[in-house]
Amino acid sequence: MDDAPRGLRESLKRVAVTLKEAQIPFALGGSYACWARGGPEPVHDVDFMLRETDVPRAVDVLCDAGLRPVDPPEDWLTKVYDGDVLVDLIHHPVGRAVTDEMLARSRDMSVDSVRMPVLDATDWFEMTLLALDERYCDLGRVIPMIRAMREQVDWTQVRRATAESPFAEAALLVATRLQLIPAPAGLSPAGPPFAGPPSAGPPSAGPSSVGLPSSGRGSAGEAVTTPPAGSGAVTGAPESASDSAFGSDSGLATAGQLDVTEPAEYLAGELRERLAEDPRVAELGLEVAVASDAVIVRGEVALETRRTAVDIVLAEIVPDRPIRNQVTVSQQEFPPTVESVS
Amino acid sequence: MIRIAAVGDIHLGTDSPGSFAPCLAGIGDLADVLLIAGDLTQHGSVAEAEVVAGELAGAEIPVIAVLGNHDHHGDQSDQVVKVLAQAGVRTLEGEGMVLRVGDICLGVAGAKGFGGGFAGASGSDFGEPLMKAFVRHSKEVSAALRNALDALECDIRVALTHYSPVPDTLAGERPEIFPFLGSYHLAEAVDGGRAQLALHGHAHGGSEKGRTAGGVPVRNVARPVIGRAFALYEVGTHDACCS
Repeated sequence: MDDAPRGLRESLKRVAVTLKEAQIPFALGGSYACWARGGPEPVHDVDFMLRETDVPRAVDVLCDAGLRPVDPPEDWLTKVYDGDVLVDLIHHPVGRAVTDEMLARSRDMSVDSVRMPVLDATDWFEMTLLALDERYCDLGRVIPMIRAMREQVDWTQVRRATAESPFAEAALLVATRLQLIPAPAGLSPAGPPFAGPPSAGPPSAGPSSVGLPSSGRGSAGEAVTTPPAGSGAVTGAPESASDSAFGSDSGLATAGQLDVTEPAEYLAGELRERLAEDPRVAELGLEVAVASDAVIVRGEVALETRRTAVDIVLAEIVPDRPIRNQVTVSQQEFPPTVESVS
Repeated sequence: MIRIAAVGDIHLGTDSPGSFAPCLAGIGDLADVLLIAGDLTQHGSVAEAEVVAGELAGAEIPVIAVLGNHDHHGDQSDQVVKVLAQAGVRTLEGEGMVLRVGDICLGVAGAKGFGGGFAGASGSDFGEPLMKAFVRHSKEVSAALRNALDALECDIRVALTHYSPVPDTLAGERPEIFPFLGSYHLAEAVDGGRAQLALHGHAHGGSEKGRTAGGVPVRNVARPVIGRAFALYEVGTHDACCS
């Protein structure tokens, strides 16, 4: 067993370096992306994510580097062998095309001392949970990965993107009940949406947990991921991608510069207040989440200029953090319909 | 029957001239009156009120509004009301007005409203002065709405607020912030004042339709909720004019 991972890692690095030198955009995916982000080390294969248009060229350069191509029957990936090690080149994970945006969201990390783009943790969980099906739904594999990567993930986005999958829902429910990840907005991690009669809840649902969305840290323990040696990229990063609290009164809003080392949920709360108070945005309904790799803002504004202002205002407050501005502009004007009210 | 066009939370700023007026072209063919449920401006400045006035001036039908929390942000709500009045926009705060449409009299009572929460999960007039002031403001504006409804002599009564009278139309917002989005005292006023329809805005993430405990239909017309420049409601029946 000891040798297998080492062989896999060597192949992983060879493919990554070859693709990098050929300037083919890619991201490390699959269980090695999870490993790079603190998860258990895989023993099977190596997965890379590429755009479909880049796959033929990737196969060419990898063959030039001595790898052996295989043309599998599946239409969502192709494979190459490095000796005995199988490397998947995936262009349509769970039926969705690998896009420029997805690759742009990936982050350069040191993987066993080689720097390479690693798939974004939120994208990773969307794919992993959507890949669960009736024959492949072993939560025993998924839960340790959630434990390892939970504070790097925007769980609200994962919930949204996987809403149609009952298997994903089950995995997220288990993770929520174990208080590994925040409960959906407004729901208790203990189970029933609202504090009902005692019989409605599980025996473990003590009053202390009712109505308190888990922040993904604290009592659950083991919240801090140890990144692989040489990475360092996520160490000390604030955790929890939970939505901002409605408010916080730590008084930092009056300072010119926020203390960006404070826990993510306070920072998210402060940033949300700043967006409400700054005259350039003045939008009270935006949702701010602080993930380990970016500040994520969602919601709707009336004008494109106000959407842009979100970037400007946040860049002033947290200049060293990437901003993921997912705010939309409400322009859709449907024709009026008439309702009779009486 | 009266046709009411309604929208809230248009949030016009000095960056928005020309953005709303085109949506109102031809509104006279669709509705008899336009009701605006607060947050006409982004920061409640006079300059923004002038933009709003410019955008609404071309409406072919009477425009009646209440202010929202954004319209109060600049602490110049009096001037905002004045600027709007110059463009023919009537702003109501604890007042009503009656419009004659054909043979029917439409009465609109308006108030900004306030937060405080809903029955069983609401703030009390108790404790710190700020808390008492918060709850009292909610009760006062609700009482003013009730008085305005009572004073209307008309065939059809409509209550217009910025804050919500019911939690139904907040569905979609986080329950933790409901006490900042509305108050059940407003619903008491709507029911007690025998309104036939209650319109509000404020909750961009909420949903359109709800009902008070007394059965009055409530509509959240915040622009992001209705997804259009205005919603249209027909109130009353065709034969009401013959009564």
